[in-house]
Amino acid sequence: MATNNSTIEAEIIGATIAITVEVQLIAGRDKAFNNGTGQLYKVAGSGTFQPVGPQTNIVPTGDGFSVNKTITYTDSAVINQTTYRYFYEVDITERSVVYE
Amino acid sequence: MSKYTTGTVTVYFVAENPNKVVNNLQNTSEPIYKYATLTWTEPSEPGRYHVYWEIDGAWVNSGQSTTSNSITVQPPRNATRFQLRTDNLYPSNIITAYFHEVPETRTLSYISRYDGILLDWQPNTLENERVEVVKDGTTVFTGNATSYIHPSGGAFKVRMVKGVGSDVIYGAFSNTITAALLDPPPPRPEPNFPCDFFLGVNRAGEEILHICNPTVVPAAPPAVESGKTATDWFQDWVGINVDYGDDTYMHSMFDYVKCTKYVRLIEYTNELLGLRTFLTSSAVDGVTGDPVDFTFNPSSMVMVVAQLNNGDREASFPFLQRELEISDTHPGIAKYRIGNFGSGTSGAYFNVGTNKIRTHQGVLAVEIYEFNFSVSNRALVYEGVDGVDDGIILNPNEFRVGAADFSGMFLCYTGRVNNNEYVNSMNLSDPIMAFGGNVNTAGIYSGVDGADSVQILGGSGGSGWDIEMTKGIIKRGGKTWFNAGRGRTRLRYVGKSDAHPTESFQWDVPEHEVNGAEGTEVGYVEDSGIRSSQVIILDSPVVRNASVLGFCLTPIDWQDEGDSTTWDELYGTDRAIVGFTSFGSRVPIYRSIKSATAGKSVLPSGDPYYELRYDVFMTLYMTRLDESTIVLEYDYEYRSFYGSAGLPRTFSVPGFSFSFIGLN
Repeated sequence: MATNNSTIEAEIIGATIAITVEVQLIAGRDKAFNNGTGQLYKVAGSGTFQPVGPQTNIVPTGDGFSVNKTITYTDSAVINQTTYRYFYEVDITERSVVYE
Repeated sequence: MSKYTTGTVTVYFVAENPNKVVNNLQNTSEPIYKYATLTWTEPSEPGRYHVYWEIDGAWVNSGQSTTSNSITVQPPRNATRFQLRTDNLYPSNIITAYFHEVPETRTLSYISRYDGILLDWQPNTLENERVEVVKDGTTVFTGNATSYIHPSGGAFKVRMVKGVGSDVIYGAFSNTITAALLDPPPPRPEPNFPCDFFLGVNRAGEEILHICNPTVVPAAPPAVESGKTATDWFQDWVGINVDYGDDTYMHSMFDYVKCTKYVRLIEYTNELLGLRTFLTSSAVDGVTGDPVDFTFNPSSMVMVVAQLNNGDREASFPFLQRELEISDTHPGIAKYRIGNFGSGTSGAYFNVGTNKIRTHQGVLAVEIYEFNFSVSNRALVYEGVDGVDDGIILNPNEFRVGAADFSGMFLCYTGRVNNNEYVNSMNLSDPIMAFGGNVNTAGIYSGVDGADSVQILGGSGGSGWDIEMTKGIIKRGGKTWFNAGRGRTRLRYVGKSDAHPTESFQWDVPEHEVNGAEGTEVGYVEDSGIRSSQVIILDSPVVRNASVLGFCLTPIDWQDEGDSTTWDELYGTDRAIVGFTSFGSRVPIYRSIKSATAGKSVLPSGDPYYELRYDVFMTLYMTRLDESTIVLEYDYEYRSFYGSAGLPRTFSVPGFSFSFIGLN
């Protein structure tokens, strides 16, 4: 498995909630990443999480051993005095690396 | 495919509304004792303002709110910040919570006394603290005191409190001590000792009062001549028609030491370093308490007494002190103090010619007593204070024999006293003091053994005479004024021995070792001894045989130690040190504090550094070797710094003119 140091933060700006996601993945030993996708999920109150916003392409850096990407999203579909929760999910695969 | 997720973030959404936001929240009671008063300006869209405080990084609703623009809350001491939230939603600016430190817990100690339990605690009470004393669960005292006496025993504990009114913060209680009063000392024995009174006319035709020890009354008294008879009581007196002798306790022809003035300074100002200043302009009459004008009389014998906060009195010998600083860059600056009077080692002092007396802050009042001796030509001169000869008058209101008036105040010498003994005073009402320690309100002395003690008869006022012949007691105002059982306690002047000059002298501190690393070496020498060349021989037999000597010392000869101002330039005329003593122990008369420096530079820290430096502390005493001989005794301590043993290490003592009077 790769190492996952990804984080998510939220901030109220005016009448919206601004989400900032930092995706940071490090490939496992003798592995490299292929391309993947990412998606933000949201739930209001005590419901179930639903995807919100567009799916994002996740492309690894340079030689493919890590992923560093910042994704922002502004959620204006919010109601006053309501609790919202968010998380971000990345779907990605690794391949073995052969050294010649 | 593998899935990787972030953690979950939670947001309680409230749309921003600047019109609801308070942005000038402040705490007007900072730092906080117990209560914080928060104030702010209401925003353009007012609401209800809820107080939040932050504890351990989390914001907590205090449960208190208001619709006005201020609120007083009692925050927990672990609150670190405050915030208002309008309508419990819109957050204000955040301010830091500042608290007064909780007062430190004290360690309590005590001393059991006859008059109460003296409580003391460490550390001492700070300026912004009050002590609360609790006895058996009840608060008995609160105040900014550094010690406290409670009149009864019990279980005591103390704590400190800061703040005002109900806005206070308490420290934790000290340890509890349980104490009881000392068993009262046995009542002072009041001896009854019938003695021989004679009120009449002696061989010379003078009207006299004569009281003597009846054990020397001859078996067959001679014929009695009676002059005028006293009114009321004494119609049939029989006594000895003689002049006075060794066993005469009291005689109207004696030259008594009378206290001609008694004032108290009762108002003071506290200064830095634990000092206190009394001004002579605050003088009141010691007997009546009425304000009086007072200035030191520079040519009379004066006794200065410190009365402490608990009523104890301390008297001490006056002595001359000189402080001298000399260096290689400027000539010496000498400071003189005449009239140091001891109150512990605090250096309390006064200077004749100034209007203030400086003491430590344990002194409640300063008392000044003047006596009928003046200084003239470097000697003490007895000043008779007798008045008009109106014959013999003795009635409850007046007691005069010839020109001798027995009203007014007398100096009563009550002998030498040892630690924890009653002073052999005539009563326990008139002021009692001792040279060498203190006397408490029960008349018990604490201090070095063998100290001279005195009482100022009449110092507590009172009028109306009463005589009990069979007991040998005379009372005034109900207080014993004379008791034959206490023997001869008046001090009377019998003669003088004067003009004994000594020369100034100077000597070197011997070579000595130094200790410490280079640049920090310290050398120390101490020594004491008797100046065998400065000897005073008392040339008057009556003075030699007197039980108490009055002394008058005038510095007359000085060594040049770099003083920039000489004694004559400072004062123009003689200044004397005047007192009296039975020489039960040596008498300090002069103290010198001398500092010498050379080669000063300033370190980067700003501190001075001297290539060479030394300090000398010296005290000079009179010691009576035998009946005829008084010598000068000295102690000194010498400290040299930085290896400056090479500096000239001399110090000097002035020469004095000594004059003595005999008092019996």
